[in-house]
Amino acid sequence: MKPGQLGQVVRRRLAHAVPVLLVVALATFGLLKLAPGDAVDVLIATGGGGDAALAADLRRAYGLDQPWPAQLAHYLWRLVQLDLGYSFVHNRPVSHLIWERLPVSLLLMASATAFAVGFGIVLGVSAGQTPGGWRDRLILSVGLVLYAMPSFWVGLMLILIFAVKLALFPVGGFETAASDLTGIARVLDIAWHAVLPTVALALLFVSVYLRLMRAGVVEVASADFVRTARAKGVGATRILWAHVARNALLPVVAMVGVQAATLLGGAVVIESVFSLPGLGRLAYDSVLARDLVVLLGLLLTSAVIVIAINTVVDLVVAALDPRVVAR
Amino acid sequence: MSLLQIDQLSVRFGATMALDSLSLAIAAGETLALVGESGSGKSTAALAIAGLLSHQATVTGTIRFDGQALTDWRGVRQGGIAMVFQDAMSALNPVHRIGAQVVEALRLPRAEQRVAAARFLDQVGLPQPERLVDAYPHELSGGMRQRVGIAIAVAQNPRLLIADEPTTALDVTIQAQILALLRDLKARLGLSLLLVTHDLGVVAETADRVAVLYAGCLMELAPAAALFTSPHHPYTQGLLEARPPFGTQAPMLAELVEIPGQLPRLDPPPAGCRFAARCDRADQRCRAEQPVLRPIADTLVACHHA
Repeated sequence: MKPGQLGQVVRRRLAHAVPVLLVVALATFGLLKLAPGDAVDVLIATGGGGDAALAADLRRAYGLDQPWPAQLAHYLWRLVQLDLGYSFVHNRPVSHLIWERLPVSLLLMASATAFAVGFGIVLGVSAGQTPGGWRDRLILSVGLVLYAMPSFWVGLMLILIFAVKLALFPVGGFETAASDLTGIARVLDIAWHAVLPTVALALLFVSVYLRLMRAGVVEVASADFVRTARAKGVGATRILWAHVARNALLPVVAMVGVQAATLLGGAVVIESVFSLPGLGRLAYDSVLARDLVVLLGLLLTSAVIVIAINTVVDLVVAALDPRVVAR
Repeated sequence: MSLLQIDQLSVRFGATMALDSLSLAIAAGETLALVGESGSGKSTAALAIAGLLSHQATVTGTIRFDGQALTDWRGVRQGGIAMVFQDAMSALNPVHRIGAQVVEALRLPRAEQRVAAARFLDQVGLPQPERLVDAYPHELSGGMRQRVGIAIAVAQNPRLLIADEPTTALDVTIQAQILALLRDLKARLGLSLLLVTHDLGVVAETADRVAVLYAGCLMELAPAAALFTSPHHPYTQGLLEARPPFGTQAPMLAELVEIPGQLPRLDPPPAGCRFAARCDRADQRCRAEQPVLRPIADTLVACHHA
């Protein structure tokens, strides 16, 4: 990728992102308005009651007595300032709540993606090398089984086997509570906690990426440039990785972007199974507490995450395939 | 002694006999053209000689290069046999830089790769080779890509260059340039050239000898001049008549003499002469007995009636 192309890819992505975020913001605002009652009703209900005069005062204070276009403008202006509202359940700004939970979810998503892409590539190349062979059939069958298993069930089984029976990994949590670990010890502790959730979330995607990789390897193996490489005397291993796998990788990377939303959805489930304090847990708790403001904040955050992942994927694709930016 | 000596080379893909008992030799410094229509087995022969057939192919017969029977081509990739392919568009890896592809198999220290690659690109007449080293295939025109394909072959320091329809995918003007380049390289580097083509114009300009293939069989092997002035095999005669006459106005479609019929199925091939079904001289014997090559003057012809 040439230097100027980085900016070009980012700019193109951001130009797409603005209308998408606007639509999501309009949708959240619509949901907020369609829900019975408003923030003041919630406030009064959770605050232990109050009379109509208090409600009217509060509505005036929060601008809820204004016509809806004014409210919408106000809402959008607050979003621009990264103000997602105030959660009366937690008694804190929603943005703080989300900001605090974000690293846990991002870590889980990143580690699961790395795991899934890594194993997907290795297994896909291994299967695609000899299409129809025993290794191919074995890997495809295992992939199909992985694909068919729901991730929450995989998570529970992993806990049962590796945490409860074998006691190799912790049952859940982000790190050992009240351990006062710092530096590298803390990193290792977090990594140790992350193993089972990562595997549980990644297995589904392993099967997706391995199939894509296998199909790519089979297709690219018969490409003319592979014959050129053989003709000039390149070794078999280098042909497989530098020519075949290198080209078969491109659709796999592109697929990571497509799967971003599914990954986020999966993370929500896995966080609940492993009691990880991430966005998924926050969403789950907010549903139970009927904390609509937080849920809508999460909706917007999710959109931003998916767009951000796709931007990164675009950059990686542009770095891997010189034809992309030219197109 | 011949540089390349092929004896009874046959290639099967399952039941299909793609190449049937081909025997021929190429001398050092010679250009041999392998001509025939699509499906005649000429590309199969070229790939077999280069050791690039897929695993599905069953190959019998011997290919000797410089006196050594080839079973493993690793020894001839450097300093032996190199190949230029038909479609330069797809023959280059889209995600690797041109320079890296040219010197990939040379095991050079990283520091020398750029200079070496630029030198090979310069040898095939590409402008600004130092800049092209860093380019990707999609940034080049078709003719430039074919030159890169030739540079990749030249980098192998070959003694035999196999060119499989090297100009088919190119514009006519570019075709002439690529042919001139091949002739030039051949003279400069003392190469033998095996030119696979269906273009008789290319043959006339470039070849010393011509081997005419039909349905996997060698029909006629002749010096180029003799082939064009006095073709002996009815198929060769048909091929030459099917050409638009040189130097005249663009001919009307009706003025082109075509060879009626089409290639026979080769799974299995018919008994007798492969061309019998399309030949106006074919008789009982042609349909029953496969003709063997026999010499007429300095030509070899496989025809009962020649």
